[in-house]
Amino acid sequence: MKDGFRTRMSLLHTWAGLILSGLLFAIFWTGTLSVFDKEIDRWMMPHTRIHMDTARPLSVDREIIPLLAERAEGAKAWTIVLPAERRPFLTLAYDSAKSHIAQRNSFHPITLEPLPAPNTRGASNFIYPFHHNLTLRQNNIGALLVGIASMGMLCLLISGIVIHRRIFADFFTLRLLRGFSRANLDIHNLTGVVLLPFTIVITLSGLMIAHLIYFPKAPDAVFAQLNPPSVTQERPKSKVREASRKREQDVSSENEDEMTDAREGSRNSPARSRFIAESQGRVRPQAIGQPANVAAIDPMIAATESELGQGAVYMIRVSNPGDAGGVVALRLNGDNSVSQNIDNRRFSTATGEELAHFNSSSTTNVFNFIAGMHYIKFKHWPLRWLYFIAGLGACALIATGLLHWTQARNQRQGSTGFNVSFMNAHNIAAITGIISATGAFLVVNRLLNNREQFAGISSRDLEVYAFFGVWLACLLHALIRVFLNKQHGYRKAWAEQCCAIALIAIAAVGLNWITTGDHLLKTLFTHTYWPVATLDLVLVTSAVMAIYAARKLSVIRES
Amino acid sequence: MPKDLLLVAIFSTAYLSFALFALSQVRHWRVVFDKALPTQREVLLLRSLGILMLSISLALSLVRDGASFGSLLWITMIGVAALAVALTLAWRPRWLRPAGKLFSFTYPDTGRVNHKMNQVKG
Amino acid sequence: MLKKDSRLSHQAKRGNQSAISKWLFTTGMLAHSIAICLLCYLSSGQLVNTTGALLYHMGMPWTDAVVVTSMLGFIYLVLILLWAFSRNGVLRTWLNVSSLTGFSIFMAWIIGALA
Repeated sequence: MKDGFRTRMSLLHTWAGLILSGLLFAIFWTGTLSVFDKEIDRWMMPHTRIHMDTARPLSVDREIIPLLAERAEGAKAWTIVLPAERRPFLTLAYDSAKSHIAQRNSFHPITLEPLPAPNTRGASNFIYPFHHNLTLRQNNIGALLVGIASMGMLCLLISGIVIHRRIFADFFTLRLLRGFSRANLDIHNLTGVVLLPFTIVITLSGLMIAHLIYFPKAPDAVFAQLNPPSVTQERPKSKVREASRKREQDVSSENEDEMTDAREGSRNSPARSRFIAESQGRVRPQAIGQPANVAAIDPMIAATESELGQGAVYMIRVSNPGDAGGVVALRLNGDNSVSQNIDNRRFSTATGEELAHFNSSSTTNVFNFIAGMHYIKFKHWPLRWLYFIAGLGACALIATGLLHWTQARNQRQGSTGFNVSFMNAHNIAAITGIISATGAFLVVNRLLNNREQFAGISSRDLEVYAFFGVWLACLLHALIRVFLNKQHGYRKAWAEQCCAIALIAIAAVGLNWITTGDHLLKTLFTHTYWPVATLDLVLVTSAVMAIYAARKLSVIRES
Repeated sequence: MPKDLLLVAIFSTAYLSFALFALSQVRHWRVVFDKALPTQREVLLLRSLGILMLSISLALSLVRDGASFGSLLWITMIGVAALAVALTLAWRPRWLRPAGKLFSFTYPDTGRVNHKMNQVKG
Repeated sequence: MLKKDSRLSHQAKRGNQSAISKWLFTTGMLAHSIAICLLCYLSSGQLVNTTGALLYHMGMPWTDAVVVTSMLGFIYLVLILLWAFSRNGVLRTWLNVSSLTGFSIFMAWIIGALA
């Protein structure tokens, strides 16, 4: 029975791996890049390469409100995101009486000059969303595919452990000089076992974050217990301390709330709305209709920070500013906690008095901790780098798995069937394809240099077209190479695409130098700016590794 | 400054602990020591020392960053340390000789550390 | 699903099998796998609703119950998937998974959480 179980787990591992690994590599690759999404943003938006060391805390009333007053007459809501280390600019989001479409503008954190429009999605608005919804937002289809892949990943991890015969004996075994197949499988086993805690936690936490997408009926099912149709007496409501709980939702324009927006996009059941409102304290206060002045906000911030520490407030959201019923909500940053902090402090806009604020329950705090382990919004650079390295290790795990199956069949005589050729082309497109596409995304960004549009198409869209276009080109190249020479064509394709990656990476570094004048010597030594320097260094390192790989691939005849 | 030192210490103790675990396995023991096989006592001692080092690493993490960050730091750090040990064994097994020397120092009955190192079997 | 040397795996390996029957086998296996996955997902959904209602009746605030049961749901789903794909043979897989689905729907109905 045990051996039968192992065989079936082996089959599950093989088939789930073959079908899902391409998608999984894309998810883990973009996820790993998202660890440093804000640093990639600095690279892609040179106007935001601002040093924060000389910045002093801004006064909301004296410096920021005047900016809003001249731009956001009659606005229903203001959002003020204060400058931070990884986001070195002030962001103001507002609608106005003229148009209710929210506008978002960035300002220099010290001079408060408006910054030019970025004209790019950057990593935060392309690579990161791609990671969790594949940019296919219609009916959450992308998120569902990611969910399927993630469940598959969990099954792969557990089945992988079941079928790994000598986990402890082979724990440190890495026979890199024994030929490709042996080295490949050893890397697969090593990364699989050693990074198991990381991959399990990352995959599970990623799924749990989007639980409303994957188990959409849960709130309805439990809410139905509160008001069962057969019982006349109403059951006691929950113990949430929210005093000003309302049923409308808070429409937030912040990046961090994109996940919630995606969930809320398909919100149509009252149970779900109430769940989001009550468990996360997201409410949209109603305007009373009575005009009033906006009270001083700085004292509100000072009061909050005296309780919670200097710099605790990172975002201020003013709902219905000119109204007597307006509310100022101060969002607290999560720099020093793993938990995704959703607590806030609320004050009346008109009188400045403190209102009931939201404190999440301890269960929600556990959920927020798990979510925080995935979102990693905290300030802890060593841990952030460790996540990055572990993420690359997980990418290696997936890639070596694909190569294991494919290479075993490539080495068999006469194995040029359709399945193997298909997987050969698939592997190249899935691995070097998406890496080249990412490089192309960066290169096109520098080529366009943040202009608004080129040849009638907006730069934001052109960069995305470049990403998908280059990915498609890599697939076509792989298909042509493989089907022209089913026996050895794949090797040429791998070598050529590795060369392409090297060229693209060097081009990116070079273009950064040409378009912004920030070359490595400058960003490392004279005008040190770590985000850009690190990305340039990573690009150079990738180019070196890609060239090494390309040379090795063109030398090996038999492995 | 102490934070950086602690970080180095956390990684070093984790690396050392995995090096000791690796040395307790015959295939890797041979790479460092004269004797072909470790005795049961040596294996036990190596593994106990390894566990001790790992615990010190965990304690240092918790001291540096508190319960939540500390545990996350430790879990990710030991993964990277284990990878580092595996890579060391694959490319430069000689670099583990100091770990072997350290162990011989604590347990003098071990075979002498192998200085010749001509055939390093995989 | 396929025991070593079972009739099905022999058919899959034999090179002189006609292309149509190979294609039929592959399509069949694919459809079977997708259907089983969907049933597992359905079962886990019903179990999530059931545990949520149970937790609420045991005294947890309803929003907390939703959070806890949703998190548990993913654990249920991975265990159910592994269990389903480790059954001995296609027939047994269908019998087991259908029973689980039926059982979970029944439990959800009993507790009034059939959403």
